[in-house]
Amino acid sequence: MAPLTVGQEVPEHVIHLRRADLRDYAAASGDRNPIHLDDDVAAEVGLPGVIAHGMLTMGHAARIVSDAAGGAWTLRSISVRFTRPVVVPPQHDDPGYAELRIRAKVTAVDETTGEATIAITATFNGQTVLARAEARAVPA
Amino acid sequence: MPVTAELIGRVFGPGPAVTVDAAHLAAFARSVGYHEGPTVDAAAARAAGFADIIAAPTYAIVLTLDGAAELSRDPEIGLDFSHVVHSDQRFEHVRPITAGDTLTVTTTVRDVKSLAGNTVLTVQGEVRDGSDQNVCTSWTTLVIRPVGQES
Repeated sequence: MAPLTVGQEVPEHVIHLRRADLRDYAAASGDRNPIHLDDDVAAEVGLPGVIAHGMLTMGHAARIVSDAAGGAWTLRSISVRFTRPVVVPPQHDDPGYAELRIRAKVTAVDETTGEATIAITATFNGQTVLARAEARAVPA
Repeated sequence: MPVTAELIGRVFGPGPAVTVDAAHLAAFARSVGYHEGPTVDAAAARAAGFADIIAAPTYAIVLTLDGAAELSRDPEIGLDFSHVVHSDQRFEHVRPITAGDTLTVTTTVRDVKSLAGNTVLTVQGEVRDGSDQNVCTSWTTLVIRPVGQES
């Protein structure tokens, strides 16, 4: 894979998160907090419905950036702030998913190591869900 | 002792050693959208020079959140995870977590502060392998709402 260059963009990826995706992430990660699985519990804490795990959004962002850099191990660091909940509607709603949009841009490259600093943008319903989102990757 | 600034610097663990399972790594990777390559396919991992399936970049949370849960198991601290929101997360990787690794997590309380009536807790989870080498470090910030004040 060619080295990353400053200003290079990772095109926007559109991800449809469904309730089943939340159940899969809960099972795989062990994070079975019911606010991600049960509308009643979500309502009890003042949410409009079940919300995606922040780590599910971060996991997709990390995958998209790492794929652009040449694979999972290219990504040496990633940091995010979770700013807003991603509310995921039930399957029978129209649409039965929450639409995440994730893109990224290379902001700096270390000339010696080739390590790139990459700014990540993630939105849901037009609003930012990951702030201060940045990764460092060494292209494969 | 509840979650107060007196906890800053307190170290929990290392926790129990966990041997990382290839099928679990692949299930996690698929759940965040990987469909091919070294995170889900052992042959692809070996072709890329890894010993076995490697972890997706955010997999370490599975190990480090359990370390943070030590705070909820300490009866003196009594952190109630049902009143916790994950606000910030950072990972720094030294080498890929690889199937077959036996790993431990040591959790250190890095910061505790008050913000608008909530407690903001930052913990560092250091993941080390069987040779006591650092594999990955995680920083997790949690916002803890006072019990009995929903919404």
